[in-house]
Amino acid sequence: METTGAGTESWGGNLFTRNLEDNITKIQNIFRNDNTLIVRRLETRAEPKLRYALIYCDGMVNNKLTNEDIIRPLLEFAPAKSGRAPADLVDVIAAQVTLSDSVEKTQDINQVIQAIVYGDSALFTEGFCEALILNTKGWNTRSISEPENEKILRGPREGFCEALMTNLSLVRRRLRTPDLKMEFQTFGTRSQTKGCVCYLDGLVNRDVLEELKKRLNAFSIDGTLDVNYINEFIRDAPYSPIKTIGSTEKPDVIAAKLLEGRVALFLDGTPVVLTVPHLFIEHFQSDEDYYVNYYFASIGRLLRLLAFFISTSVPAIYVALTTFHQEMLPTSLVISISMARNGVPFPTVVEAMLMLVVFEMLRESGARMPGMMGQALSIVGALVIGQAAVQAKIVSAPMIIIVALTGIAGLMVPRIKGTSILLRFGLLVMASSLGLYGYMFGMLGLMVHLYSVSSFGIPIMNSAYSTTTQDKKDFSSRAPWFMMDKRPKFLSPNRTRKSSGGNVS
Amino acid sequence: MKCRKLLCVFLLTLCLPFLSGCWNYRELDSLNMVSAFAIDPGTQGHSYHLTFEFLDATSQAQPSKTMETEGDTIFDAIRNATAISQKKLYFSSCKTVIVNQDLARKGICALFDFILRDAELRLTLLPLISKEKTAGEILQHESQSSQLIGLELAKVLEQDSIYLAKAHRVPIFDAYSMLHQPGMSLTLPFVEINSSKSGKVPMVDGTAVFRDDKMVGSLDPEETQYFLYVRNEIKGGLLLTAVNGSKKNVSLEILGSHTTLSSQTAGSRISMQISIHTKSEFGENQSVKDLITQAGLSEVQQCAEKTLREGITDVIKRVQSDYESDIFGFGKELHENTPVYWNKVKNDWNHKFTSVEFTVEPQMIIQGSATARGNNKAVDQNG
Repeated sequence: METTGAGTESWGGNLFTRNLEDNITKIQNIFRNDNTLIVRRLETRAEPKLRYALIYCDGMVNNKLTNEDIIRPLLEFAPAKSGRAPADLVDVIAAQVTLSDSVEKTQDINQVIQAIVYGDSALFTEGFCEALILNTKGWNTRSISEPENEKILRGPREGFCEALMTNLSLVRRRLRTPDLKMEFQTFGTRSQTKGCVCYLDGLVNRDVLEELKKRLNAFSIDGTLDVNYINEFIRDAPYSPIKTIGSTEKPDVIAAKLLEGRVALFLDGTPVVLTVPHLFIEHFQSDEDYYVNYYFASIGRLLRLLAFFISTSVPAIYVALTTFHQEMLPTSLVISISMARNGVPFPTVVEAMLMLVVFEMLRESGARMPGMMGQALSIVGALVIGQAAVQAKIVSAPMIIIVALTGIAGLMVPRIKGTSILLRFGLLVMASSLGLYGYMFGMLGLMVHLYSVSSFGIPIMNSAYSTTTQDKKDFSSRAPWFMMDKRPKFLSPNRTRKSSGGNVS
Repeated sequence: MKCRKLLCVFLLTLCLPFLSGCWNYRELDSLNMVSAFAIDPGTQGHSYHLTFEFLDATSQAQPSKTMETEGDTIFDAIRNATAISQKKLYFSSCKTVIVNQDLARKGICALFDFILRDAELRLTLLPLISKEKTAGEILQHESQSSQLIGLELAKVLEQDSIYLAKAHRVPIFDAYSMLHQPGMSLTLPFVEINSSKSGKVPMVDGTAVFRDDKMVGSLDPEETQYFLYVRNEIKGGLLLTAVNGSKKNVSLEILGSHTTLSSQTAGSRISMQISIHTKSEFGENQSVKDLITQAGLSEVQQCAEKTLREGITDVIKRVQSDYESDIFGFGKELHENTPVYWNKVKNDWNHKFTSVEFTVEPQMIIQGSATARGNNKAVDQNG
């Protein structure tokens, strides 16, 4: 017990003794300087020899639960009148006295410590070296609410919260089948965060599942506060701006993805849940697509694809056309652009870079800012930076339109926001040094990259590997549900949606 | 090792914007967007005197400016503009070129070479021949819509071919093929300054007739219209005809027209049959008679056919006698359909053309009377 800060290993080998006070001291030593540790000593009036200690962390337990269901029965408990405690007293307490829903007997000090820090209570009994771990978890969590960044107009609105078990229950409620498997795993050598790999047996692609488990066991980090900590360790193409692992905060999305044969990774303490494998088209799919009429869903999907193209390419194409390929513009457009550019001191590229950076700054400040400042921000954005900059001849009016169009289109596809910002600037640099040639080289590079990246063994452009219409039914448009007979290619060994699932196979 | 490789890629990428030097990067405001240029004979010992009309982005009211240069070749004159203007002349939006008629008389091929060869100039450029003393002065007037004159003239030619059919719109690629096609002579539209009380504006007026590449004469707008019937290039316009008398008092709006040429040869005799099939609508009636009757319409039809026949006959005869230049494409018809015969006559075609016999067979179909039936009432009472 030299130091408490050296990780869990240092407690190994320290076994509990039959002396209650020794055990208490041992625990208190481990938790020294931690004033939330409560040691509640109990003695019964009927049998003074029976002494217990209930140890827990304040704030982590449900006090009503400990008072009513553990302390009260213990105090009222009087074993045989023989005057001697029975040899199996601990088992008797576990089986007959405490009202806790989950009781575990252990001699392992590590397990006891893990239980205490996770809101359980440890009950020590005088004369026994075993401790009872009682489930008394009871902390406050955020209630289930609609996630701010995945709002929809029609369909289920529940979102995950920060409590793992609540989140799992939300999924379980949607998939009432024993095929739904949930395997717990602990991440973070220090944070000891509980995670859960979740999949539907019989639908899941075993190779993907094995690969995921292999990668989950292959890294080590001290704390995992969000799934992104894990994401960056286990993802394919770690330096690529393209996402290869999906994430969502909505249980209905997770249920739908599990039904397509994907695997979900939950982590305690975050409402974000990862899904693998992640296809490129998933950036453009919204859960609402499946809850509204397929015509409107398809329009929305096409608009999002168009928006991605616009947000990545429009500034680059504008710069290429106006500075390299003026002959490609209609004469009247050339006239109005050169009229607008008259007197603007900066080259078009600089103008574009400047305004795009300003837009990103506006967006970023809008995202981090208290709500009531929104109006001030829009005034600054629209009047000062937009109109005033044009009137002062710092930038030309067409550039404001281009940047506004780019910005709006970028906000339309929030899932691929980071990627599109990077691509936008990359393509802009290419286009400003080589014109449309540069833009095309950039696009070619992007295409080569997209078609070479895979997510857990599944190519992210999976529908490109298929010639059947069935694989295009949930791509740039969404087919009616009665026509989508098959699950996406490669994701599941059992591709027919109508089948009942794992029990068959 | 991997890190070093990454660093290498990063540094090379970093070099891209600095070392590439932005190939061909030109800001729009560093270019003078030329909308038209005029070619005149040089004055100070040079061969050519060019006048450019370009966009003046600094002023909203009067968007055009002109600039004049001299040079021994057209390219030379264009590059000499660099000595005058900091902005490079940029020709991608150039729509028209106006050629001095003295130069056109000497031969137009030499002028077209640069235009056809240069990468910036488009092959849809529209050449016009100036009726004024110099071609440059056309560009120095204000245009009707205070637009650039070059753009205005291009638009005027386009509209003309749809609604008026009294000017022959010839893009430069067409002009080139007319120059080089066997049995076909070049025609180009004329442009002049039209003076009226409201001001002086450029106006498209008639057609210049070429023999080989030299201008030999002109057709007036009326003749141009009949010429276009033979060339099968009528898309619209009006046909005025005289019913009951010599005064033209009925307008027919042409909806569409199709002309077929067919040739017959016997020895040195060549005869052309020109059948014209025209659809029209009754557009205006200035006569006192109600013509919207079975009899009235057939009378109008006969008068219209007669007008067409006479007009076309006159223009072909005049070209045959005055210009000896096959602008109607009779030779082309022979070349395409009787190539063996064409080989015998092609060397002396311009002369042979003058003796070609022809018959004109117009067929006018009047499809309707627009939104009115019968006659105007006031006219009716008088009649």
